[in-house]
Amino acid sequence: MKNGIKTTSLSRAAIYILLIILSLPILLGYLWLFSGSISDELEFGIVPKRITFENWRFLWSDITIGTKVFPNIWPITLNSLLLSGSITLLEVLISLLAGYALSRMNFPGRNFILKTTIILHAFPGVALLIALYYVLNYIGMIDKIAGVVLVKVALELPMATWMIKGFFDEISWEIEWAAYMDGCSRLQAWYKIILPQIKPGIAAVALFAFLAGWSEFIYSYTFIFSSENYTLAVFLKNLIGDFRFLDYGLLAAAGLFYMIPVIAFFLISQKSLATIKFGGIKR
Amino acid sequence: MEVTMMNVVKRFGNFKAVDNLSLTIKDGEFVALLGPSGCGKTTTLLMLAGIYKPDAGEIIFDDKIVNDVLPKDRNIGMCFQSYALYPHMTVEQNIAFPLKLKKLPKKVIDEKVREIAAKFRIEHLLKRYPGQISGGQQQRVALARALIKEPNLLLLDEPLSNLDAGLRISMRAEIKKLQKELGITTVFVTHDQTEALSMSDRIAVMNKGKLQAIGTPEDLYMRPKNMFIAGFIGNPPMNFLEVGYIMDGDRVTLKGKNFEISLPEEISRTFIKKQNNERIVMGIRPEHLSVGAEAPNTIKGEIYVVEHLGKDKLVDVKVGDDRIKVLTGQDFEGKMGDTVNLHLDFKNVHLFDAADGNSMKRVA
Ligand SMILES: Nc1ncnc2c1ncn2[C@@H]1O[C@H](COP(=O)(O)OP(=O)(O)OP(=O)(O)O)[C@@H](O)[C@H]1O
Ligand SMILES: [Mg+2]
Repeated sequence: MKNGIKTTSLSRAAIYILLIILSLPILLGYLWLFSGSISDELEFGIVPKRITFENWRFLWSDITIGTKVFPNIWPITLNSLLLSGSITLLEVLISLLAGYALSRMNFPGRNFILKTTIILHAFPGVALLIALYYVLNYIGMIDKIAGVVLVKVALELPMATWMIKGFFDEISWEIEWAAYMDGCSRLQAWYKIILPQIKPGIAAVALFAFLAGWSEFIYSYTFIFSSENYTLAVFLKNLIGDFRFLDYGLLAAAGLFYMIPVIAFFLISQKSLATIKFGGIKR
Repeated sequence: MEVTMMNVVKRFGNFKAVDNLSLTIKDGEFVALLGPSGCGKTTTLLMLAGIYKPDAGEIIFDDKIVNDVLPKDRNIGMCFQSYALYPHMTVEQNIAFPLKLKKLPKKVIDEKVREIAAKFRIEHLLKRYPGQISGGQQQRVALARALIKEPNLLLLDEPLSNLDAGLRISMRAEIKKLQKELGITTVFVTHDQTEALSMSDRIAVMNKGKLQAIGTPEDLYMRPKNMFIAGFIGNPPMNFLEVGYIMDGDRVTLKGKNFEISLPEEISRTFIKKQNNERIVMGIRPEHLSVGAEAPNTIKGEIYVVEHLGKDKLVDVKVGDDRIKVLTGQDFEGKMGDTVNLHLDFKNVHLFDAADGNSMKRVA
């Protein structure tokens, strides 16, 4: 007869095995990326034969593949940071104001806005590419990082606002009223009393906004032509180029470089992210 | 500061949470707003605070109509039911917050915080966060925060409801003493009548959004205007018995299903007269009944249950289909099923119109 403990540990082992098998392709992928970036040849697919940092040469020199010369990566990294940073800043700021209004104020159209935000979020942005191109062109924002920022913020804002609204909903009215009684104006109550209490929520929204900006590709690729305005995602795409001269080692190294902020963010915020619950269904 | 509410109405959709409320609170007075849950007490308080705007009527501070004055400009201290301390600030920062907003110099603020913290005996908690102190301590912090800016009006929304019985009694006395010391006009919301009776100069009783009566605790207890007040004020509550009104010359007799009581003439004179045989309601408090020997003009019944209240015993007596509660001394020895005779203290008999519930007492 099996006892209870044995069954649970058995089934637990089964779960682990299953999880390992399922995550193996991803793990192997990352392992390949890492080994590939620090060697010039791989054995058995993933074991480095000889360690070299030659693949990381883009960090200190210009690179040439075939006849093509690639610009230095640092200004491009800066562009990516600028893009993600601006998206984060704008998105957080606007969603904090809009989320507050949707959570705390009654105005005509409020319900309509609440219901349509999610639909707006589900709208496929790619379908808008041509229309957006015309609009950006018209307002003189084509081939500018600011243009991509505007587009990205507009598309991400509904979801961010929805999330932030959920955090505001959790704050009791009495706390806000207490702030008014103590002499706060509405704006003061908002930033002195309410915002400090939803800091984790703000951090989460900022993180998502940053990562979304960092991994943004399609708009940068479509709306930006000048190489001095390239972002990392576009740079990577160009590295792949036309496949004839594809340098896998270089690509692996650049790919890893591109992932550094993402990995860093998740390592730092993993614990605090897990504790946040995303409200937002309540009105 | 004198506070007046004139014909104030507050609606939520079609629902009238506060219905035509008129009320004047004198300068320095301590008024309790008493009423069952959901009767509109908090709504009234929030209108005084300026959080809600009345849909009709006027709110007047001294001589100024303040309907459109923002809460921050009313100089009101308020203590919420949940205390509403700011969780991201220490106790010290919480208390100092109203003064900081006034941009007082830091030295003055520190001085005042220390002073008021000493008064509320929370000096040792100043560096802690609200989540790190007990409910009673939070309540004192909330009071300190409400009082530090020396408000013209203090609003307290059931500040004692989260405290244990012992703490509640000591805080009652403390709040009352402080209020008298500072002379701040105070409105205190509660649904606990003992609290209202023991603390306030006057009590305003509300029900279903309407003001039922306002008066001193003694007024409301001795001369209730209607059955709602009579039943609401006093613990254990007043007994109500439906009786027929029978007049024989000057003699008034109250005829119940299983008893008959003749009122002494000097008592019946204090009530307005009714038609012969009209149905009315007699009210008498448990403390104005006693158990005694068989005699005329008493109510005969059978003991249904005896409750021990510590100091007293509360005897539940069955009279036909009616139940009458009687307060007796601890030495009462009656047991379930015993037959008893209830003697009435006629001076404290109340009569009410059965139709509208208004008291039949003549106004002197
Ligand atoms: N924001 C609101 N929207 C709709 N109805 C409300 C709102 N606030 C209060 N009410 C209703 O108005 C009535 C009075 O509410 P209020 O909070 O003033 O009661 P209260 O006397 O303070 O009760 P309690 O003793 O339970 O605190 C209640 O029936 C309540 O449901
Ligand atoms: Mg209330």
